[in-house]
Amino acid sequence: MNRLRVWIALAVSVAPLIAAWGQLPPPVPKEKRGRTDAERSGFHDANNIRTIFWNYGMVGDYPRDPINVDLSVFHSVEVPKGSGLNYSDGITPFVLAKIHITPTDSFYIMETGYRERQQQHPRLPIDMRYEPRPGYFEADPTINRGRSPAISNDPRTWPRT
Amino acid sequence: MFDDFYDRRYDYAGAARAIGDYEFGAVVAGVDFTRFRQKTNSFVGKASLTSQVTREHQAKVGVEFQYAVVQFGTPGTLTYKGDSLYRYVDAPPDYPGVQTYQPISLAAYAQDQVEWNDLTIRAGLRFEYFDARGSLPSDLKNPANAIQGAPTSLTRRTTKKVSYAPRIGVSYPITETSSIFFSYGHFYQLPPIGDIFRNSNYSILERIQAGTSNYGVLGNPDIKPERTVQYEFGYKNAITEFLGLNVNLFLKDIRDLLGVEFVETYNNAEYARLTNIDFGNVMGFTISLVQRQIGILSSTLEYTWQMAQGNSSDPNETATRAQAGEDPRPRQVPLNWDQRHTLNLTVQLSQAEDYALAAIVRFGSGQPYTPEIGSGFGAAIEKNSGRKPNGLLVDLRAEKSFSLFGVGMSFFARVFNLFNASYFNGDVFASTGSPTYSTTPAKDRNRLADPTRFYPPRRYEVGITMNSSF
Repeated sequence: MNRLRVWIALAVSVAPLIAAWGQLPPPVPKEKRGRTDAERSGFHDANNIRTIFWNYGMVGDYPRDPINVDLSVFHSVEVPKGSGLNYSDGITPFVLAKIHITPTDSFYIMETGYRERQQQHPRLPIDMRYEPRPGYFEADPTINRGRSPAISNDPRTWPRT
Repeated sequence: MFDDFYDRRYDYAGAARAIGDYEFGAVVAGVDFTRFRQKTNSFVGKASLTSQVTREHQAKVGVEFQYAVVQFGTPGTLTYKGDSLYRYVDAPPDYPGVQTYQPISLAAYAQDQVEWNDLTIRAGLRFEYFDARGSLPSDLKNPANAIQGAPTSLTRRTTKKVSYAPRIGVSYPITETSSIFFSYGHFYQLPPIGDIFRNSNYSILERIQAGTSNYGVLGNPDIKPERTVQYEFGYKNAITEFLGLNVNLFLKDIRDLLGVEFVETYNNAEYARLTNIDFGNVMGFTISLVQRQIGILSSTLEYTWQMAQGNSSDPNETATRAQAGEDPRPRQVPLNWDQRHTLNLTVQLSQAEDYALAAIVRFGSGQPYTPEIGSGFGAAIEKNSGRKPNGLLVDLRAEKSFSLFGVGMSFFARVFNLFNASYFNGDVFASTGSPTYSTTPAKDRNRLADPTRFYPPRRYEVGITMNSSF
């Protein structure tokens, strides 16, 4: 009898948790999560603006060797196109979330997709930033020769499936 | 820092930390986590034979063999992130441990020196073989074979490097007091084994990301030896009994100079690796006057003019332009060590087995540097288009021989850099071409505060040398 009471009490207490779990969106399958090897860059070239962009969340860039950079090939928000005038470093959105631990206690987490000054992974030698999910561009470099993220005016960059 | 990888003081101290820009970013707390091991055991065998085969022919043959066991790497990685200290002894691909390589090299040579009447001919051939016995990814754009959708990159063995280096030299007297000579030869030189194998495990690039540079310059066990083809022509003349003149003209064609290339992976990340990318050539002449001792005075004067140029093409620019089907624009610029004028003067006052007093004067014209205008994008102008200031150094050496208790001894005194020159083709600021000031002092403040950028100041050495052996 006592054992039955314990089971009933347990079921009553766990039921709300199960209900809440059911309301959560299903997690993204592991093979479809963002990954570093899906990073690609492309060029936006329209409306008299020319710029590199990265599918990990950054528009524009900063050259590896800024003093010796060749502005005929490096374009970061170049306006007007062909002028060599680059108006920006990389641009990325900051996503900030407030997490409530208890009704009176909370903390903030922020993530972005930038080229530097990111939090390092606790154990791995990688930056923790947004990473692109695979399947949204053509990964085969023999087809997508520019190795670009999908862009509307270049069918070679579109994913086959 | 500590011998024991598990030393608890690593945990107490934490990683090296700086506080903002305090004291130019100096480390104020923590300890250095870097741990590195390099150990080389070499088994070397050499044999040579010299024989005066006939009255005119002297032959030399020889062989050298080397088998090395080389260990490189990190005997344990410490990463202290957040509140926890992680230790990895050998956890590839991210934290590989010490790697072992076993390269083999072999060399053999044969030379014949012919002395026929007044003509001297020296001809030879050197054979060199090097097998790094290492491996590399077959597709450098997919270095760890971890990029989804990219062509498979398998591990391939490094190739064996075989080279043949012929050499010939001829000298011939043209008058009673003068002679000419010329020589032609191929020379091969492998970079130090340390440079070849250091950081040459490409599997660490499994998680490479764009825009990050966490991996340093990767080694390359498949590197080719630098090849120099050298031509030399010389003239010697005894102007008087005490004065000799030498004139040398030289031309060197250098291929496969070592350099660093940037490889762009299929996910548009970049890593740097050691490779053969550059070529160069050196041409010039040397004129020297040698004055044999007259009384107590002897002297030599030597002047060299040379021009050393090599290709210069930003690998990144080259790749981008090549992809676009455009000319990669290689161009010749002065190499870093292109010192056009060199003058050495030595004057010596000496009495054999008594004393010697010598002054050595060295003059060098400025080597190239890449000037900058401002500090923004594209501030640098053409590579190595600027010239550093000229430099002059004077050294003095004195020696006095004496005997003490039957033991031959000498007292010596030396003064290096007599005039306390602070510069001799050292570091200069790109904005000014000067070693002393910069037009961007805020950006260069660490270098401005670093006295090691100057040439070492005047130095005195005194001592006693015992000449006898016991």
